[in-house]
Amino acid sequence: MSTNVSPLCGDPSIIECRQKTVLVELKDVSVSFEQGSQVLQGIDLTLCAGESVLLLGASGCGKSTLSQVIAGLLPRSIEATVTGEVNYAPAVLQSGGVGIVFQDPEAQFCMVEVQDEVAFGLENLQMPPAEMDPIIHTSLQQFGLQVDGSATTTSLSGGMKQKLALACAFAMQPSFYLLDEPTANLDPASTQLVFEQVEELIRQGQTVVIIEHKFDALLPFVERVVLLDSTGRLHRTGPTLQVIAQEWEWLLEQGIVLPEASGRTGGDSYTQADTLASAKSSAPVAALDHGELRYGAKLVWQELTFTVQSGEWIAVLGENGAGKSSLLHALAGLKKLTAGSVQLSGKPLKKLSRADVSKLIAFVFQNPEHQFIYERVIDEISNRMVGDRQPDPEDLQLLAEFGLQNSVELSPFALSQGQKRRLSVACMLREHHRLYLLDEPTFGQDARTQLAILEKLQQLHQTQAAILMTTHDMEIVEQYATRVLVLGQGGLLFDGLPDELLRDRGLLQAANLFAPRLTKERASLRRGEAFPWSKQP
Amino acid sequence: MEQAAIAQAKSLAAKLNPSYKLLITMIVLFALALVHHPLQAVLSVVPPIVLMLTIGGLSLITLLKRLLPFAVFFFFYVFFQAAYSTTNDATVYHFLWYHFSKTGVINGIVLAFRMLTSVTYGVLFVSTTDLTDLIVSLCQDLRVPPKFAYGILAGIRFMPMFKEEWHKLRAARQLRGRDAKWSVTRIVTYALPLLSQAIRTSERVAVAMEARGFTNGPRTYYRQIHRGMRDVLYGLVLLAANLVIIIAF
Repeated sequence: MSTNVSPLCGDPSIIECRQKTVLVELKDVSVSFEQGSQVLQGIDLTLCAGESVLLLGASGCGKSTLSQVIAGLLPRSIEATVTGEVNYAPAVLQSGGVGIVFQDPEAQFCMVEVQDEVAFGLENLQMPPAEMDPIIHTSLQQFGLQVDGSATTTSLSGGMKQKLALACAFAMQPSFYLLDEPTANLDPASTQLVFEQVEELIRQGQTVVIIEHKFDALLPFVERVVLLDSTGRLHRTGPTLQVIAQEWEWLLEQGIVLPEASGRTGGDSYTQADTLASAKSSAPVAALDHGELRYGAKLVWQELTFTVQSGEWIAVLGENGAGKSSLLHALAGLKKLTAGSVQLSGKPLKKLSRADVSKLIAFVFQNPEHQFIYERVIDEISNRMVGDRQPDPEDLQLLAEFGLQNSVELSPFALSQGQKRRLSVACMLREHHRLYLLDEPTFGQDARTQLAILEKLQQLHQTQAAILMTTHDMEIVEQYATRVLVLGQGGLLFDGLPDELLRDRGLLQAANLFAPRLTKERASLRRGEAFPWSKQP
Repeated sequence: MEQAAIAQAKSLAAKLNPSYKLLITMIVLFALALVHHPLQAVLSVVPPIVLMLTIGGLSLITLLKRLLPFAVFFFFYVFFQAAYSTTNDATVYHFLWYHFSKTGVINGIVLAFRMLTSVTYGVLFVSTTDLTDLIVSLCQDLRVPPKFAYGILAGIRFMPMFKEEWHKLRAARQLRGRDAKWSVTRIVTYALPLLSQAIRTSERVAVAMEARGFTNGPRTYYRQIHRGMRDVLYGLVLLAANLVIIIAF
């Protein structure tokens, strides 16, 4: 198989590894699932104690699957056919030997209260109960979880759930940590906190395997990188900075990193003046008048008044829990306002039928799974049960544009995280709408998926459709948005141009937002400036 | 409501061993199947109400709020038993087209109060028992296999999420213009996706639990569930009270 790649020979990390304990060793490992799809092919990989590894690859290439093999979950807990040889150190296979943080923050807890959740792993290790309290306390502290131990896990936000998952893993002192896109659902501040924790773990000499799309901030301290290509083969493995610098072209080609200055090709032609001009000609696409939302006694936001004109690309920013998703839901009539009113195309939302709303508005949910209502990809995109009949060629074309042509017969739920997101966006683009509401459309996506989605949105933008999207990604805000709304402290903190926001340090800090500073690091990385050993083109 | 919950959590009944409390409650309910006299039936609802107001930490208002819906239902139950049960004895009272019989009234009262008693014991148990405590106690005191007990816990945890899933699914279908036309058919349309979503979620949770070292083997318990004299006392008092009701009246 992989003849031109010899990941074991000449790799400095492997030589180093000979002096350390080998935790997991994969020899010519291939994995296929029941649905007949081959995911991994001929993988040779060694994980040594004390090293940190970043797994990179295009969306759907089998990163999660590989991590599950490394963690010993596959085929033990997840059904699949594995060929080749996998050797584990005894410590890895012990209960709780691997501390895993999963993608889905909802479905990794089994207890009602936070303290029981952390204790659950310790109970499995048969630790005497008297020793548990201090460990639970330190674990929660370690990840900045300032909640009462008796708080329920369901009351936590997505970001706090991921922190809790980290705390649970930490409490068990596993032989290595496996983080499968741990920050996919976190705001920049929480992401930074998690990355700081990962750095701290690595600095303490813990073994860490991490899958992460926003990997820029990890590069300085993760020792080794493993590159998987889109067919599920190992492309290369080696010291992070060196490999990234040398393989930059390959990373671009695989869509793992984005070329510089990708967005805003036609965006600049849209100035505020254009938008205002078009505004006068027609009724606003959507308008919120003195909107207020409360959950019981808890105020989410109040006195929200703004209008959305066609041709606007609005980014909604704010901390986790600031009510960004709720705002989108309220505009689509999925959530009732406690006070105030919504108008769509000049008509009160209350007077519009469900069918009218679904014609006017397209909605992309934060979790793509919440949007799927069929059991096959082709049914999903066609919005009907296709059955054995010939599917619409236009639908197939749309799937192909989103790189889903090979998944037509699969269940939408069996797709990878990135594929699910692309499908959910594709479904919403099938018919034209006046207003597109997107809740974190680039959440947990690799660079290529992100670019594909943003390109599509840009096309929509040029057809004068209005786009309102929530995001945590300041790069997207800077490159694409024509207007920014910042929610926080129970109201609207900012409504204006992206550039103005990015200049306002005080506000950025108050709303827990960060200016996009990682781009520059990446750019210097690309030019190879930071790495004297990399070849200059 | 929140304050009521705190009062109940601190109450004496909440400190009882959940498994024993469950066992005692079940024994009492079986014993009460022997009740066949209206006076017995009425009296048998007294002990659980007294318990709720004393060691249960429930206020009279909370108690009424929780029991009133059932009481209304049981009133109608007595009414229909009395009005429609076919008995041999003569009608004692006429009202419009109804013919009330004595046997009917008595049967109705006995059955209605028996049910009310069961419900009251149920409310007493549920409002003074922490779910996690119960599950841990089942494993520790009654030797229920952890896989089974924790499975129940995970299942109950997902109950409220089911409602959430329903709303999400409805929102998704509405936005794509594919909602069921009538609310009755919605149940049929949603059943399969809800079920498959439940299976997917449970699979993920199971994998996560196994990944954290969960097996059916031995384990320790963070929560220490105590059992002692007060459990015995609770059992004895409750059994004695009910025996008096059954034998003496």
